[in-house]
Amino acid sequence: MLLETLALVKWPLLGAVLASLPLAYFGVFLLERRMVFVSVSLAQAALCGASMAFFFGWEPRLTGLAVVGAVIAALALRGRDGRGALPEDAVLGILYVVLGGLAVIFLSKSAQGGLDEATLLFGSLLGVSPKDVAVLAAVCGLLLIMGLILHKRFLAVAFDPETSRVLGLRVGLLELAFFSGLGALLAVAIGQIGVLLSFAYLVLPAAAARGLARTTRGVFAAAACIGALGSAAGTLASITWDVPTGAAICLALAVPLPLALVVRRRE
Amino acid sequence: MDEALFEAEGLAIGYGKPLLSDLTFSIGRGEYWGIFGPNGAGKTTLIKTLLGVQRALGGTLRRAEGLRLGYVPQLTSVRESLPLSVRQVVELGALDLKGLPPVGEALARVGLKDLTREPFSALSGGQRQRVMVARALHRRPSVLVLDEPTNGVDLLTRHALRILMRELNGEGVAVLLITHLLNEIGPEVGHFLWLDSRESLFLAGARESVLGDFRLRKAYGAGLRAVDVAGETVLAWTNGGEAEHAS
Repeated sequence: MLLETLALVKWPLLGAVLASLPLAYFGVFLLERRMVFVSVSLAQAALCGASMAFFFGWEPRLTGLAVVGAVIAALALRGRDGRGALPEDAVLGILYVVLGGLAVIFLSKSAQGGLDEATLLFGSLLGVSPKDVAVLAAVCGLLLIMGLILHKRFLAVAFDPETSRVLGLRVGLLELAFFSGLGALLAVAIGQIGVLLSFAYLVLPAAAARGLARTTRGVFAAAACIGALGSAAGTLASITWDVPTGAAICLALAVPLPLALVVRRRE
Repeated sequence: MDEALFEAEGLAIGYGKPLLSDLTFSIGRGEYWGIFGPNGAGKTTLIKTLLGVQRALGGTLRRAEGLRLGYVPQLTSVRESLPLSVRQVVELGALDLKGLPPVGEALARVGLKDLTREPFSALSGGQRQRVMVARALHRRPSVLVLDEPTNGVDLLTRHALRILMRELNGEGVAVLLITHLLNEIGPEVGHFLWLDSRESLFLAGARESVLGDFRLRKAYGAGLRAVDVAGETVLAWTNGGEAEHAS
């Protein structure tokens, strides 16, 4: 019975697990750096790009990538002197709202006008095709290579950006690589996982992993496991009880959090 | 061999508009400098400019070739919650260098060799600061820059750090100590960069010439003298500390 169900949802499940692993990795850094709002704004940018693509008849992933790239470039230019007219969280909030509004309008006027708010929020995991998974796997492969090369530098910058600059690390370029990698992943995956689930993948596994592990490797491994297991559990639950897959995964990802908080409090 | 480590001529520093300008000084190899001034005086801005993190707004600044820097930032600027071990923290400070001695050597120098595997976040404030110093020492620096290293640390650690800095300087390492506390400045500090942007004051040079400069007394209404506190010789104002905005 279980195997039959798994066979039925193998592509959505594979897509969800593939997306969850790198997002959990990015999430650990974002949570420690208190930058999760950047990620949700990038997800919104990817969604806005995909909606524009539906409206104009363009390729959704590439358009999403272009819009995400534009947002990253704007944030990078703004961050060069760190003294913009508005605080950064206000800028991110404005981006989130404006991009979300644009996404809804483009979608409502596009040929895919039937897409509803739930699709915007949670994506359409059950519609994931083998081709979607292949594209996602290719992006994950590139991110893995980036992580293998730059992981220690990402850690150094996250821990102590000031000393990293003093010692000659190219902090600006490393930040650009980090957020471009995250942006590319979101642009490719947003159609399937939606804004809320991408946000859930970034925040929930990392938040629980912080409580469950004490070492860097432990935290990254725990976040990846929670992301992957939460995807599997949520997908199976959605089939079993006939509930939306994205929402079920979100809830499954939240399950380890109370346990992690208890463990952390006891230490 | 006598080439200066840092040589500034008519230097202007600040963000957008000059905080201090026309700064001229020369920091030689193996010297011990105190970069002193009240909070907001421009000490960190000056050091960031010296280290090349921030652009000078004017003047010229020359750095010696092949400088190997060790930098100890203020503890508040690091993200202590990251799940890094003590060993990792030290290693992450030398990603650009190869062929360095084992991490344990630097940790032994600050008395923390037994804590190599401990999570950095589980250490006390004093221990964390020692790890940051070990991270700088692991690089085998020719210049060690410390930004308010005793902020928020216990007296024992303060004392130990001071002795360590003295020893390192004796081994030929140039030390640049940024502080706003006069009682951090012992006789080992042989040169001063004294900054106070509010008083438009900038003095640079050997200890006696800076401490004896009439502009200090004019700016603060008091002179400086050496006093013994708990077995350490430090500086204090001659009027008993009323010039508190400068200490």
